[in-house]
Amino acid sequence: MTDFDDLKRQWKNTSFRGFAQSENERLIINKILSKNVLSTRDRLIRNHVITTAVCLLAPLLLILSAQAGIDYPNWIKILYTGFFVINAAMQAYAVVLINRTNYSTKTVTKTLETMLNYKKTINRHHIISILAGIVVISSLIYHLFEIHETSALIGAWVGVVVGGTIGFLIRLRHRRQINEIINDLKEILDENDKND
Amino acid sequence: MTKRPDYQQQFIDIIETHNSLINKVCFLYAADDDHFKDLYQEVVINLWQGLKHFQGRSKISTWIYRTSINTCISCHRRTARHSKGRHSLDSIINLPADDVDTPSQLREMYNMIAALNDVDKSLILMWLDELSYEEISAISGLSRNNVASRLRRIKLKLVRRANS
Repeated sequence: MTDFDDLKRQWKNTSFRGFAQSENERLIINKILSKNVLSTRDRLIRNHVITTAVCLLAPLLLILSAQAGIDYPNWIKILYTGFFVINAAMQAYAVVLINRTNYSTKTVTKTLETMLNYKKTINRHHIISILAGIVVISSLIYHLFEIHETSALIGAWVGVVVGGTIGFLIRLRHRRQINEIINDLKEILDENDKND
Repeated sequence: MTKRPDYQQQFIDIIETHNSLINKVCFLYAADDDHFKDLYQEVVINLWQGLKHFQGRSKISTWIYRTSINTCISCHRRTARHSKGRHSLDSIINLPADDVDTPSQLREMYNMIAALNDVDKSLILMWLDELSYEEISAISGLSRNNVASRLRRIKLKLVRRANS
């Protein structure tokens, strides 16, 4: 099958009836019209907004910790609060980036560029968070070790291992997705310049 | 039966008129039939959300192509090990048969097209649907010359794969 005119004709004659003779398609359309169904993009925005809120509330844990009898020196409190405020700002910026995507008006290459920009930004945020997080967590663990709070220390180490593993796997997935988009775009944008 | 607001009915009419176009785009980008259903739902949601911004400056079909392709290339794909494979998409298409071998040859060609990268897939899809180079250029964001040369290269790639 290498005759492309024949392929075009066959494509025209192929019937794309969707799934279950359009009954499921009607159910989907009715669901979308009657409820507030979120797209993947909407859920991504919601996740970033929730993470922003969590980051802004996280410094309150210092107050709870003080009430439980574990009080940290001021320099650790500042480091800890600064870490979460910066994270909140990065999450809010991610929402701004996602809002720039508009599937209805952007061209395919512009959409890919916007996606790439978003993923690269998230990747950078992860790196910054990991490095800053290592400093903050080390400070917390060091203080817990100094005041001999064994149970809290164990909890902190478990958190480091679990969180670090999850973070590492998420980073791997992001890198793969970024490389796929870069491959798609690189060839196209180079050719666009050559052929113009 | 409750009467729908006009804009909802307008949306339903648009989807029903262009349902085949939406199915074609989702078909080429789907890894299996579950993925197809997910893509279809995503596309319809984005069309519904985009309808209020559609000002009629382009053809409706152009708007649907753009939204559908952008949605499909943006949606996260499952890894191959979780996919049921493209053979599960057979229920979605009704292949024409001039002879006994045509359906399997067509299926093979569609699978080869589905294996192209996201942008090439969109170009060949629009070319198969007989859009002009200018229309393909407007939707893809590539120059007209780039569209022409990329389509030539895509066809060569498909011929080489078909003959190997």
